[in-house]
Order: sequence, then C-alpha cells, then structure tokens
Amino acid sequence: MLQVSNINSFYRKIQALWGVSLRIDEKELVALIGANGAGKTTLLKTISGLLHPASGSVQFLDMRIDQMPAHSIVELGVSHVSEGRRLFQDMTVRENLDMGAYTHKAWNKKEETLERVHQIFPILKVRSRQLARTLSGGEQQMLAMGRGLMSRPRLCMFDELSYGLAPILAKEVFKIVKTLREQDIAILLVEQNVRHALEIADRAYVLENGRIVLEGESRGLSENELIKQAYLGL
Amino acid sequence: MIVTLLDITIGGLLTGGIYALTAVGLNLQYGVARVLNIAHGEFIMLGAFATYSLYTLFGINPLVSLAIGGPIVFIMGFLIHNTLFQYLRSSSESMGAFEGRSLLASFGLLFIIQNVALLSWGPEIKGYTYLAEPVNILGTIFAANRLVALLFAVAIGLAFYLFLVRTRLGKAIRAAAQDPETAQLMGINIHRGFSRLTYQHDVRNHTTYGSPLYCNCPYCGGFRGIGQYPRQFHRGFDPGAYWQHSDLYRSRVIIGCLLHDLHPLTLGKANRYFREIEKCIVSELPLIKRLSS
Ligand SMILES: Nc1ncnc2c1ncn2[C@@H]1O[C@H](COP(=O)(O)OP(=O)(O)O)[C@@H](O)[C@H]1O
Ligand SMILES: [Mg+2]
Repeated sequence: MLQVSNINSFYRKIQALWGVSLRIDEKELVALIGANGAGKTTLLKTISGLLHPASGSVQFLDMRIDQMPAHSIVELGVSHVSEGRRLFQDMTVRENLDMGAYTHKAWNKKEETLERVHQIFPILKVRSRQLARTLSGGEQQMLAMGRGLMSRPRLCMFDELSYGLAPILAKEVFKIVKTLREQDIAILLVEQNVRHALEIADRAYVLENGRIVLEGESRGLSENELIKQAYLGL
Repeated sequence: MIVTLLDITIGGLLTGGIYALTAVGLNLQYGVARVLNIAHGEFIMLGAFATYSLYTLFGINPLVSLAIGGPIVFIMGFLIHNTLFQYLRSSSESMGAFEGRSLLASFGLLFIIQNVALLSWGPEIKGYTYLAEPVNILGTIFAANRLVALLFAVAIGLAFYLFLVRTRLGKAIRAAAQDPETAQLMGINIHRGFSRLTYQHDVRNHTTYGSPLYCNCPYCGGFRGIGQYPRQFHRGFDPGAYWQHSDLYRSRVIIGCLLHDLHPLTLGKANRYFREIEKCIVSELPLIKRLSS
C-alpha cells in the first residue's frame, strides 16, 4: 500500500534522512522506533507531503506522492496525526472534528464518520461544544486521533501518541490503536514507548541518525539483543 | 443626563464595534494571509469618503452605496492581492521575508490611499447630513443615522461572524489562521485562493464599516487601523477565539464608549492626533493587566 524507496530528506541544507526505505501493506500495523532526533517525525512529514524528499520516491496505492502537496495526499487516504497533538486550540471539539473531515469526500459522509469516531471516543461526544484548549491531556490526544480518523483514511500515521500521558492512559491509547487496524486501517506508529509499540505491531523499523538500521517482525525484534539493550533497557 | 448617557453608550458601541471588527480583520489578515495590512483604517476612510461623495454629489442614498460598494471593493481586494501581494509572495524566498515585504507594501498602500484621498477630498474633516431626523426611543431622542450606522456595523459583523463559525470555508480559514501546517494535513489548501479570499473579505468589510461614518478626513483612517496592532501581536490570531473571549470584546466596547464620547468631555478640544495615540495606549491597558497577572 505504501512504499517508501530510498529517500533523502533535508531541512534546508541539513540532511535528516539518508536512503530510507519502508513498506506498509494493507491492514498492517507497523511501528517506527528510534531515539529522539533520529528522524521519525521527518519521515512522517515526508510521507504526508509537508516535506518533499530531495531524492527517492514515495508511492501510495501505486501513485507517486512524493512531490504532491500535503492537502492532496490527505485526499488519497493518508492521515497524519502530528506529534504534540496540534489541535486547533481555539475551536471546539466538534469544529476540530469537522476540520478533520474537510476533504470533499469526507465532508459528504461527515455525520456517519462522526458517529463512528464518537463510538471509539465517547468522551468527545460529551465534550463536543468545549474549546479544545480546555480538554485534559488524554482527551486532547483522543481528539487528535479522532480528528485524524475523520478523513476516513486508508493509512493513519500516529506520531508519539503516548508522549506525556499517564501510563494508564497510554495503555488505553494503544488499545484503541489496536482496534483501529481491525477496521481495515493500516497504521504507522511512531513511538518512544518501544515495549508497547512492539507488543501491538506486526512489524517494526528502527531509525538511527536518519537511517534505517533494523527491520523485521515485532516478535523477532523484541528478542534482538541490540533492541533489548538500547530500547527496552534489559 | 439620561439622554447623554444613552447617547454615549450608543456612540461608544458604534466606535467600539468598529474597533472590534477591525481587530477581527487583523487577526485574519495576519493569521491566514500573513499580510500585515497596515492600511486597514485607510479602507474605512475610503469607504466613508466614497459614500460621502456619492451622496453629496449625486444624491445617492448612503445605504445604497453600502450595498453596491461591498461587491466592488471585494473585487478591488482581489486585484490588489493578485498583483501586489501575489508578486511579493512569489518573489520572497521565505515566509518571514514575505511578511516583511508585505508590511512595507502595506505602508506604501496606506500612503497612496491617503494621498489620493487628500487630493480628491482635501485635508478638512468632511461631514454630511443624512437621516438626521430625531427618533424617539423610550422618551430619548437619537439621530436616526446613528442608529442606522450601528445596525449596519452589527449586521456586517454578525454576518461575517456567522460565515466564520458556521460554514466549512469559514472554519477552514480560522483553522489555517491558527496552525497552517496542521490545516494542510486536514486537506486545506492554504496556498491557493485562501489568503486572497481573506484579504478580499477584509478589505470589503473595512470599507463597509467606514460607509456609515458620516464624519471623516484623509488622516482619520490611520489610527483607526494602526491602533489595533500592538494588541494583536500579544494575542493569538484567531477571530473565532476573539468572539469567544467575550470579556475582551466587552472591555473593548466599553473602551470604545469611553474614548468616543467621554474623552472630548473631559479633555475639551484636545489635539486629535494626541487623542488617537492615546487610544492605542488606553486600549492596551486591559491587555497589560492580563499579561502581568
Ligand atoms: N524544522 C527543522 N529544521 C531543521 N532541522 C530540523 C527540523 N526539524 C527537525 N530537525 C532535525 O532533524 C533531525 C530529525 O528530527 P525529527 O525527525 O524531529 O526526529 P524524531 O522525530 O525522531 O525525534 C534532528 O536532528 C532535528 O534536529
Ligand atoms: Mg519526533
């Protein structure tokens, strides 16, 4: 479904990704792990079109998307839930969800999608008319996820969902991610919480200094000595 | 006494209302189009003069000019944006550079509009009498034009507010003003048409706000617009939030009241410019309080 091939991405003159390749199949849950500053967010931005790679290609459903603008890529079915939630703080919960369904295709089915999102995150229905900035941290993360789903994506990319959440909430969030893939949405999960990520993912990639250094089945990776030492603290 | 108080209140509401609407315009302009449109007040002034001339020269009803003027200025905004700002945008290497240049260009626009107004209408304060007949409300007498002007300002403001809060496009404009990058991830194309559209709305609105002002001069626009800037830099740039922060809105209306009518009473015939500058400072006070608390 998604094929990233050999991309090099830059912030002006500073190279952040070096020959990165990655693949996600239909309905797959893939984890992307790596230390702070490894380039995880940069990779997501390159896929969602906020950043264009200097070389290499990104293909989604057999279409080249690496030079497409971000707003067109959403339309194709790629949703990117940014690090730090990035809600529209001065808009209500409902308005945030509306914006998630901005594309024409999604807008026509907005009410139906909203019902589904409310089923997954009942709290968002309760908070509907509240400003996003008045939500608790956990609720804000739910809203960010809910907003990401409003575009009815085929592939959803989550950047550091568990960051700053209490362990119980983090667990809850991971549980929800797991249920999403049962709804035929492929997921690319960026996480610092490696243990949890590997628990729910089918496969995983490890990014270090802008390069993929390891990839494979999650189960295999959690047995890997390097991962154990560097990320699981064993 | 009650008459004076009511009159002060209504005058203040009108002034305060226009200030508030200008602030909304600034939010949008900067937030979405990244154009620091210093020339806001000039469009208000232009609207007031155009209405004045159409009325005094051709006897065209100010309310009619208001109705046809809106669409005309909307198109004017389109032209200005498509030529001037579009050119600057495409020739600027970064957003920061564009902001700087658009600020300078706006200043240029300000001086051009001011001087064109100066040449066309002369430096004196111009006024006209329209709908000046007294209206009796609850035993208090008002000039009808004041009430009509107030109604218009409220109607335009309300219509624009509903556009921003209710429609898909309006919400998208607010979203883009708050966080352009995330707006793109929602599928909002922030590059095409969007900033131009806000610019058009903005210019149109301001000209219309000016139309019911029956007293005007070429320099009157300057501080009506510019006075808003310092505040906008401290606050966020979302007009929706602006309306939701009703305490701020209310305080601004109250300030409008104070400035509009009490001031001349207390200071007598103070220098107009001095008063204008003071407006900026006085209206900063609630903000300074907020920041320091
Ligand atoms: N906007 C930016 N401008 C310049 N450099 C950046 C920018 N964003 C990230 N970087 C750099 O790119 C590298 C990868 O960052 P990032 O993708 O955010 O890492 P991660 O998400 O894995 O923590 C880091 O060295 C970071 O300093
Ligand atoms: Mg990151």
